[in-house]
Amino acid sequence: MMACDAHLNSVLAYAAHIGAGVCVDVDLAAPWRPCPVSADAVDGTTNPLLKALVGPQAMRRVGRSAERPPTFKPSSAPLWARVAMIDALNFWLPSALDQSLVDAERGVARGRAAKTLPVDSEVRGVILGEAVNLARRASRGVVRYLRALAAHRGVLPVGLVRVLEPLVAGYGELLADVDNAADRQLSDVRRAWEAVAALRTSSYTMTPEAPARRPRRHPTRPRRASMIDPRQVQARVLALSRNPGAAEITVADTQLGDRPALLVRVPAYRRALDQPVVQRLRVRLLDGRSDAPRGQSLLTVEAKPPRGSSTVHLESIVELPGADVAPLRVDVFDALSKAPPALADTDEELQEVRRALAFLDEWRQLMAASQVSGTSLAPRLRELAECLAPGDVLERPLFPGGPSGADLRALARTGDAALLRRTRTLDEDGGGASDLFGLTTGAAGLLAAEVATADAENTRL
Amino acid sequence: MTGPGVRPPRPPEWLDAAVCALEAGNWRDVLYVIYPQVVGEAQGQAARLLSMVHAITRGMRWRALGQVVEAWAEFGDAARMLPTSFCPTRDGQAIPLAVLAPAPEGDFGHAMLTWRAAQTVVREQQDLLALRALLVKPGLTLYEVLVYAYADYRRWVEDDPWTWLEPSADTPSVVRNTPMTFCARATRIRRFGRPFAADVDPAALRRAKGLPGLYADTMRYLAAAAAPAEGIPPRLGWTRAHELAIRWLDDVEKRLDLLASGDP
Repeated sequence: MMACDAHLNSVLAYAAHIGAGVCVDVDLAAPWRPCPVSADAVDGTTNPLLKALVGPQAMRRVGRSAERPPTFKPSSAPLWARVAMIDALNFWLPSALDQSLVDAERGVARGRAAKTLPVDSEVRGVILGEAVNLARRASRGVVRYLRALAAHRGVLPVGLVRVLEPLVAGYGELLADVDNAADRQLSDVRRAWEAVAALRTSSYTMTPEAPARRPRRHPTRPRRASMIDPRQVQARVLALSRNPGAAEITVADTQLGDRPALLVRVPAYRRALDQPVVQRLRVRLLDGRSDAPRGQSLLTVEAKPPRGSSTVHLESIVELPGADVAPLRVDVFDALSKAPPALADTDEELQEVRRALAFLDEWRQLMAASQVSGTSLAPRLRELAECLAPGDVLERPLFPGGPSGADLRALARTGDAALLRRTRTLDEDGGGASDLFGLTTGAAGLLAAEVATADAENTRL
Repeated sequence: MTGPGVRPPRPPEWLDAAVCALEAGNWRDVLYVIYPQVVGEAQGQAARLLSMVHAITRGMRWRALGQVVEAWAEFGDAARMLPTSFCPTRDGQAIPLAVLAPAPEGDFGHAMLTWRAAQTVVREQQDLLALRALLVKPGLTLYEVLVYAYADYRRWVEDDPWTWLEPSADTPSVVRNTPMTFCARATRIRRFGRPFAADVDPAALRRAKGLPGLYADTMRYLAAAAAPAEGIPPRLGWTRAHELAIRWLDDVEKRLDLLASGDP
């Protein structure tokens, strides 16, 4: 499932397929907004699910109008909103995440939500089936992660335990439904957890040491380069720059036989190289006038990385339709993506998405870090404002509905102690807040994988 | 450039070879020989088609490994990459189904190759749907699951001529057939129909009439089975398993007839 334009004015929208052909649209940049619901069919199979989402009256409107679909408030069906939001986070978040933990959470969340449906309904069985398949597929990676925790750590931050415990409990809930509870993949997770649960936990400590961050550069743009469009490829497949103004795709002249061609190179997110999506990646040349490609080819992992390079690149040679053609933009996309391509890197929607992602990713990392350590938030907020909104655009929102650089600086001025107090009581909001802190509460709460990454970075310091 | 009087470019020969190989079920040839050689030179329509060919190939590889859930998802991705006429309902569906469409008349270019690839997707999806239909039948016994799992192994590994042609990176994990790996395969197949079914315990193999009985019942099932999709030739592995089972049944029946007639 790809990003879509389901929300008017949505920046980080995602249509999550939650089961049996029913889709819920969510927006990571405004998770408190009502979620539109659509379905391939409104019939005996989908009715119980649609009723649970939008109620018996509104479900009759599902599929009738693409412009005004029925919606539900995330707080009215929190378990379903969470299912959709986890899928959206999986699609959009560019930072390092343990994919097994993400998939495990997708499975567990589906299992919990499906169990609210009538016991005899077909759709309950369908979604529970998807839930248990996801949980099983993630099992090996989750076990590996838990065993590493148990082997190398004496004390765990309470913030980490608080997100892992419900995840493991979810495996138990699914296991209880398996005939005779005979399922090695599910029970392995519970067994691995026993050793982790025996570890001591530590409460939060205030250590105002800012973790070292990679330096951000101000927007730069090589002469022959294009930007990754995050709407076209699931996150953590290509290495999206932390700088929203930087172009990641490089282009050089070459030949294919005796014909003029372009050599296209794009940095890969290393851990994703074995995923099927890598085999589906294509390159298309756009001339800026229409979205019909002027040339198209497949990406492959580069045969010989340059000596000393730690980044793996994907590359492709694309034949030019004529020597006089100078493509404006080189677009890298997943063959399954339905999102129309941006015709130029200066496309305002593309720029908004990149800025929104850069902000949201950093913001969520800050929130995750504050759950496991006494990281200093204020300097990182100031740095973020500096990078995303330099002096001349300080007052302008980074993306529609988003904060401005001035907002971020004002927040930084409230000081570390106040900020940390606020971030550690996120759960008490219940998910209704429509401010910056609302971006990581309720259905959009932090993933276990996000907290695990923050914990891993914290222990490396 | 296309238009009146302008012939569209002919597809490269390797694309025809890849589609042919998949029709016969020779996914190894595509995955390990054709694809690595041509992926760098595929352009335009050929590149688009090669993505789909690769998805079908991966789906077949999952089938050989007995990973039916993964295969089901992979063939769904291949269906999504087809033109709308071959896969009319794709968005929103977890796994869209490819459908049979009339062959393009007098076209031996990309459109014909797309049609042939679509036929292969239809065949493989129908094969999996037929397997699922067997597995969700009320009253299904564990013994029947073992029969279906063994039949699946024969069609995709043991009787598939391509398994034994040349060793590939997958060969050890594909051909390994210990009681443990067989039960793991049976578990995965059983759960394709019933996701909350229990693990298949190796002890079940010992209890289930023993291996000779399982072999005989599997051969009877293979001999009687209908082709996965009407009008589309099955993979060679499927055909060979079917033929071998019929010959075995003939041999056994002749022997039984002899015994019945009192002739030693």
